[in-house]
Amino acid sequence: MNELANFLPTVLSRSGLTVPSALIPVLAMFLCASIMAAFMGLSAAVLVWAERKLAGHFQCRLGPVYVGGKFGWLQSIADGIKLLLKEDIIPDQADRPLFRLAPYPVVIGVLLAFIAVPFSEKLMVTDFNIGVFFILAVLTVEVFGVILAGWASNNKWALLGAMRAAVQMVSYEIPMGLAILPVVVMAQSLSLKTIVAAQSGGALHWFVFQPPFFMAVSFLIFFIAGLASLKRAPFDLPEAESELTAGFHTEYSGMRFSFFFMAEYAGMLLVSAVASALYLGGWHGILPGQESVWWFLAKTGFLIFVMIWIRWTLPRLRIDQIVYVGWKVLTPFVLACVVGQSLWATLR
Amino acid sequence: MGVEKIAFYILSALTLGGGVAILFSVRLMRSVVYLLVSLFGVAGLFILMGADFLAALQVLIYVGGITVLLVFGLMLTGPSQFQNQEENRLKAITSGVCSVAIAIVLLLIVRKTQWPTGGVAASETAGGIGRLLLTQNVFAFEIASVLLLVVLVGVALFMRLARSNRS
Repeated sequence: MNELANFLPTVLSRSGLTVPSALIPVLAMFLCASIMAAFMGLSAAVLVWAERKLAGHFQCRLGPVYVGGKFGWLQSIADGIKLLLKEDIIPDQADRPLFRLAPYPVVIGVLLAFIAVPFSEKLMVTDFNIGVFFILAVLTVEVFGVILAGWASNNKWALLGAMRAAVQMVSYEIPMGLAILPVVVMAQSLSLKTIVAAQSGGALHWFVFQPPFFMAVSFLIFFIAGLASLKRAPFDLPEAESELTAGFHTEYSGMRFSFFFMAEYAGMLLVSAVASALYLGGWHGILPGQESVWWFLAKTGFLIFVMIWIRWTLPRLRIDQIVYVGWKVLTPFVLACVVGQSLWATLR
Repeated sequence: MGVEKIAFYILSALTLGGGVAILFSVRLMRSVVYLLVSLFGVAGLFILMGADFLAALQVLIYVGGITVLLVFGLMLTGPSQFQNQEENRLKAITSGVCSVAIAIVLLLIVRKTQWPTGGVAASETAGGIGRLLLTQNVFAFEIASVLLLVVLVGVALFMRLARSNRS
């Protein structure tokens, strides 16, 4: 973003616009925010299409075929237009201001987290020195929106879904946060840029492949906890459609519903991107010396594919199983990983 | 007026306005939302001072932890409960006296403390905080963690007792 702020005055003077210099940083912020928002929306559209298509093939059918000529590639655009044109229904008994407010924290949480994602060495909005921690922190804002939505709808299914979301989040935030620690111990930094830079030099230097493989275990735990925090199958209890109709967003329609929908897909992208930056070497390629944003996107894309794969393969868990896995399986294992990695780092 | 000053006034207005709104809202759920606004204002003030680690902590603990737990408690009640609760006068008077006493103590503390002014926070605060917690303030740190452990064990014990009484 700072580079953009330095670069903006020349662009503006060439195009003949005069902007007071105090406004340049503000303008750069707005530009970055709108680029990120556009990226989030577009990637959500692509991911929805990919999910439809892959789900179709996993279930031995074709998925969307007609819209846009071949492969149904315009399907999610058509869906988007449909959602925008739909009536925005607010139930009579709902808490109106809170019902209207609820989708915004959900989207803002995910969008805020994107500003710390390092797409490549140069291509990132800003390099916080607390990058990973920042992402974890702002993602909690999303959960608050979900709970608010479930409560404000004044609907028993929505309320149940929101309570499940709260339980799930409280149980999985701890393993997710702790799973990052072995990487932080290894890289000696919380900044995502420094963490990725520490993994340069080919696939053998990626943190997942580092002996004694504490980081490989914590990668698995991070990924599972990430799935749970995204409320994706097998952790999709907050919106379990077979029992709760649509869970916390039962009463939402049109634009407001699409906010939740978009946040889920952008969240998939975010968790995959963070996982590939933390454990899979980020923008570094398989062979030493390969560096490009495409490597980062390829790894992220692969993780998203795994998420879709899991969703259409595994059945949904029960809520007590979810809490059990969170507290009694993932948390002890991740604690062992943190202690093991710290010991390894001090002994070496 | 600089950008920073404008941001400071906006964030302080959010913090204080959220606090005042909590006082005057009747519905508990709304006041949780106002509390959220106020907490975000404080996080913004931390960022303004360059303490981004503290800001992230503020969001993680208060938004992700405290308010979610508050809302979770509220969800066990219905949306129309807690409205127009019949207050008795004694309760109102005692709570009023308590709040005034706390306010006076806080104001006295604010006036007595020598606040550092004009300093700029270090560029990287996380490392410094960690070092201080494990050297100079290690005693307070350990006391706090023992306290939390006691609470955890106590809650587990109470649950166990309640369950064995029921069966």
